[in-house]
Amino acid sequence: MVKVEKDLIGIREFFSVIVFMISTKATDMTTTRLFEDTFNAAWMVIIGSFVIILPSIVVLNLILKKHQTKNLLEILQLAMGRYVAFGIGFILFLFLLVNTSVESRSYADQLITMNFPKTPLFILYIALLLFCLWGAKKGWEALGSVAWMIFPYVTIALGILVFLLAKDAVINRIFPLFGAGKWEIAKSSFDNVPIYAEAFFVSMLYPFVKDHKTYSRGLLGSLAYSALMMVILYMSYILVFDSQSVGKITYPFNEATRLVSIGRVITNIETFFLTFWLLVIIVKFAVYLYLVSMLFGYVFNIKEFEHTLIPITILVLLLGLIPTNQLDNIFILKQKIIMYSKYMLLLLPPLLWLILKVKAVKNR
Amino acid sequence: MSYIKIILGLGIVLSLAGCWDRKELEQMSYTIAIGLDLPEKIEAKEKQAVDVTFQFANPKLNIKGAPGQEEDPERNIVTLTAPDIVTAKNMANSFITRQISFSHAKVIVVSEELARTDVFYRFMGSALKEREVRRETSIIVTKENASEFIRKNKPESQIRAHKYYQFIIDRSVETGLVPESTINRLLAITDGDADLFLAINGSIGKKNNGVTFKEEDQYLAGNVPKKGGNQVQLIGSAVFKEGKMIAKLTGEETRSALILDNTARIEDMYVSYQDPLNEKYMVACRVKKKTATKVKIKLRKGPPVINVMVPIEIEVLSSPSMENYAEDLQKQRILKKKIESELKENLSTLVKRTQDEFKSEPFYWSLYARPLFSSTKEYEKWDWTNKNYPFATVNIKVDVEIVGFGKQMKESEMEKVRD
Repeated sequence: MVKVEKDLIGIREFFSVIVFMISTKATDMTTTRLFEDTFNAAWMVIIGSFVIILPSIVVLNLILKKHQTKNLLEILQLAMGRYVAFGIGFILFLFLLVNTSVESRSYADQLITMNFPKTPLFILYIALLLFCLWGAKKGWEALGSVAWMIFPYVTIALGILVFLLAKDAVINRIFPLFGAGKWEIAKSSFDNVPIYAEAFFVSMLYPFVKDHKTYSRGLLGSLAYSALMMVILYMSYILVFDSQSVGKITYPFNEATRLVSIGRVITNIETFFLTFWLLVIIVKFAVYLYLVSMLFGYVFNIKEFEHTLIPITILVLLLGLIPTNQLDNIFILKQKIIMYSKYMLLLLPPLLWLILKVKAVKNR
Repeated sequence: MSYIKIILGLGIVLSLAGCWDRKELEQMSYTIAIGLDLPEKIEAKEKQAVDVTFQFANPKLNIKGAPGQEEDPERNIVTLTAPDIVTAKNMANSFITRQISFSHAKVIVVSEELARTDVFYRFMGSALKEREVRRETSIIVTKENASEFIRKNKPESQIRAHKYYQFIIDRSVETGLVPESTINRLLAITDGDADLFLAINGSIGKKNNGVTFKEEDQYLAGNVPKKGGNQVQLIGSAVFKEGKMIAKLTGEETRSALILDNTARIEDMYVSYQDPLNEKYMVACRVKKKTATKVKIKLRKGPPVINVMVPIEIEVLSSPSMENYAEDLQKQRILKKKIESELKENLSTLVKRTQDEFKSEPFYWSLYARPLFSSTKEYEKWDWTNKNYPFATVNIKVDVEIVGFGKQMKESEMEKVRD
């Protein structure tokens, strides 16, 4: 009998967690940014970014394979020494922390605008984060199980949404095929590489996944799947709202759920989709919080990092409350994060690989 | 520890229950129709103002034995002058006891007068900021004031007004007498800035107008000859260019436009054509599009060539001339030719009118121009509406297939009947 370690998770759980974390980007403000830049070719940016970040993910994967049982930061320490590793780790931590608060604030704003107009932001935000905290406290394994548990239902709900949207879709709205132009798409694909930033951060969790095969299969599979999901959703938005009009909508996902109806009698069914969406969001941010505190734990050498979850959540909450509105939050802050983080995402894995290679040659 | 857990859990649950956004059905007043008019005494050009009419659903109807809406329409329909639609909601609360919600509004009724100013698009475009305004809401343009239209509207068999609007719009769209005109379509077309948007045209019928008899679909709203029933009629369409109403189409023209438009869903179109063998009589047919209309745009130097192929299926439902179309292939051919030429004539006339009068098209044909370009910039530079469509050569081909003759094949022979 193979002894199953309690903290290790299998491919299904890993797969669904990553899918939730990434593919939700087709339901938030990311859509607005992309549509603004590239009009009806926004779906190509999703594919373009995926292609651009794929090499560095593969390289990272190779590195991780060599150093089984070690996570990213430990490898960093091995390669670059304690101080540099601390520096990079700290930057990663800051990036993830700010990103978490910006994103969670964005979702809180989205909920307020579309569903709870009278609820104060503070209360809603606290409620959201408390839920996520509660989930994160249960640990990585529980999060994975929950993600896999709701995965089929979410997929079905999404399928229903796309199917219902098809009624209003006009295929030719996808043209002119390249939207703002090929060069713009290439540029935007490069700029929006951080859409897949999560693929990079889950490497922190490498030791917690059953084995290397599970990890790499789960990661690549889920990335491809998320890209596909996002492309389908982006396409639906374009086909239903048309390219010029979709850029003006703040939340195309919520607008789409409002538009659909089942037959003549069952209208106003957005709450049905809201339920599943909320479940996904809660899992997503629970994982985010978990990752942030884990990173914190590694950087500052705290073995029992799960105790830092509560202070980290409070920090996220406080940071998230700083921006005055969505514009501040997404179009200024998030834009900056994306601008700087993309170089890190693209360059760190090859650099790491190079250093390790050089070291290996020297030691020989 | 467990106490803390319980308190924490309760806290989360209670805060999620949303003491702020909790709404009791009892406290809500759902608007079914929103009417928009130009205010009478205020100059719309100088000051932003609009007359907003709300028709509310009557919650009492759910109580068994409660009297219906007929008792006093004034209680459920109110009109007030406000700077815009959204703030009118709160203004109305000075005399309406419940919170007003737009989330079940089925139609927005706009008077022609307002639709012909550019204020209309400003209101519609920005009304969508309000979260309760939904994109699938239909737009009806009326000849009279919207408030009058809503007040005069007394549905025959449905007491519930929301069902009236839903059913009559669905049904009229099916028959092709009115176009599908949701806010979503208005925005998509107007923002796309290449086509014309067609809105449902409605009007209050006059008391007696049986004088001018025409074929079944050649009417404008308000002119359909009839007696009894609801005064309000929906037929034909209002043409919007760049968010501003510029003209009206009759029922027949609307049907032609919808035949040429592939995004339209016509399902049940009954048309009568003059019998080619006996000119006194008409042949009643059910007309269906067999497949999508094929639109091919060919670029060349100067204005493009547009080749249109309309595949039509026809079922002959009645021919009072008692000509035996079912059995005689020769006669069928004549009928086919006749319908083809008549349809082609109709379509070409409409296309000509759009080219000369509107300088743009309501058929959503820009969709077929788009694939010819690889980027939006090129496409916009090429300029479909202004530079190309009005001068394009449009070749229309109609391909009619007679697929059926109803459930009775042969006609009785008139001579034998008389004998």
